[in-house]
Parts: sequence; structure tokens; C-alpha cells
Amino acid sequence: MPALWHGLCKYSLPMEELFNKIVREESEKLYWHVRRMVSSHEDADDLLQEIFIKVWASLPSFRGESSIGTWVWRIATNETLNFLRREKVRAALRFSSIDAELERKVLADPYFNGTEAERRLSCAITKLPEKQRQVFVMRYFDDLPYEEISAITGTSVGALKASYHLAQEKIRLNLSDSDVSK
Amino acid sequence: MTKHSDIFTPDGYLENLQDRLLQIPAAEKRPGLVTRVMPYIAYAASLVLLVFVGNFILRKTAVSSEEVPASEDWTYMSYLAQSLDSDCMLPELQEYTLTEDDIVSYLVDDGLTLEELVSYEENY
Repeated sequence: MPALWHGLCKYSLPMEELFNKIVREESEKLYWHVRRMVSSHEDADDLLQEIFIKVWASLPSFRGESSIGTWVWRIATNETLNFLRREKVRAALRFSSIDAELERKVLADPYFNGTEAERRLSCAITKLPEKQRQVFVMRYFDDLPYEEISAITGTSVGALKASYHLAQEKIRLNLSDSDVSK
Repeated sequence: MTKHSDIFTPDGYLENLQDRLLQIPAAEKRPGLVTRVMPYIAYAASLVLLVFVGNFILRKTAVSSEEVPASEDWTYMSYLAQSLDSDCMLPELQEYTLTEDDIVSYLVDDGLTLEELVSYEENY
């Protein structure tokens, strides 16, 4: 009920309650999403902190036009894309690429206990363009429906389906290439 | 089995995550009106202080109008010296020579009595 959310945001005490509710409901889901996007626990932890600081700071301006969950996810995805853009610049300054940096993080991740196939899948995901990776992670790992992803990203469902299909194809191609090279 | 089963977190991370995030409102509490306005008040106060100090120093170092005569005298003397300089006199005045008759006429016009005139001629 957007009007109710809007009403709650006007006062400082209910705003804290609202924030606590967001943390309880969304923090873990967002952690896994961000972790998949940035390929590192440390980066995900830092980024999650930044995301929730931004959520808290922006809460008074929440107008209730979408659900609070969608609004929080929108902030999280924007912050994650900004983080990846910054990392891209940092990688370029080191004469490297963001794909290579993310793959290096996947391979060196101490908090990974999957199979070799899962590691290769994680590496293949790092090679996707940011937007495609975002859609793929939301759909495949976070199990979000296209309608929800559409509300978060502001992209039409049709375009999201096309993007997801393209991402799948690229991953399949990448995995078959790595099979051939073995 | 979730789709995140290939990755995990340090022990107790997710349990502590919520507690840490719930601290954000207290840490990021918006400062009160006085705290937000304080820097501007400080700037204004320093500006006023600067004006007062500057004014005080200027008043102390500037010469007051009563102490000016020396320079005013100097200006007047310079003017006199310049006017007495024969080079600065008008050409017609430079050519004119006073006669005794001129002096007598001037003294008579000035209300000089006959006795005073006789006395003047006897003495000078």
C-alpha cells in the first residue's frame, strides 16, 4: 500500500521501523545478488553497507510509486553498476580489464566450495556485459520474475527476455569453448 | 539446495549482517538545525570580528584631523613660497615700481591723519 509507506516515511521513528523492516526482509537477498555481481565477499560486504546507507538517506524521498522492495533493489542495482564502472576504470589504470579482474576474484575466492563446473559458470558470468549479467543474475540466481526485474531496471519484459536469452547463449558458448580448449 | 550453494560466507556473517546494518540510522543520524547552521554562524562571526579588528587597527594607525596642521602649514607655506617667487608673479606686476606718492596715497586712503604722516616723515 504505497500511501501507507509514504505516510510512514514522514516521521523519524516510523522511518527507523521501516528501515529495520527493509533490512530484515532484503539484506540477505541483496547480499547474494551483490556477491554474484562483484564476485567477492569483501566487495559485496562494503557495497551492501553503502547501499543501505543510501537507502536510509533516501528514505524520506521515497514517494511510494513502487513497492518498497522494488525501490530498494533499484538503489542496490544502481549502486552495483556504479561500483562495477569504478572497478572498470581502476582495471584500465592497471592495464587490465574488468572481466579479467572479476575472473581473478572468482578463481581466488576463499568462500567458494562449488564444483569445477560451477566455478566455470561463475567465470563465464563475469564475461557478460554488465546489464546482461545483472538480468542473468536476477533471473537465474535470485529467481526474480521478469515483471519484478522490469520494475527494478525500468526495462521492458520483452527486452529483458531477449537479454537473458543472449546471456544464456554467451555462457553456453563460453563453456563449450573452455571444453574445447581443455 | 539453493542456487547459491557454491559460494558461502565467513562464519556468522549473515547473522551479524542485519545487526550491523541496523546500526546505520544511529550512525547516520541527520544533524540538528543548530549543528547544520553552526558553520555559517562561525563564518559570519569571523567576518564581524575581522571588520572590528581591521577598524580598530586603522583607527590606531591613521592620523587624526587635529594632528594635521603641520602638513596643512606645509601646504600653505609651499603656496606662499610659490606666490612670492618672482618667476610666478604676473608680468605686469613685475614691471611696476612703487613710488613714494603711491605709498602716501595708500596711507591717506587707509585713514592716516596728517599728524601721523608728519611723525612718519620725521622718524623715517
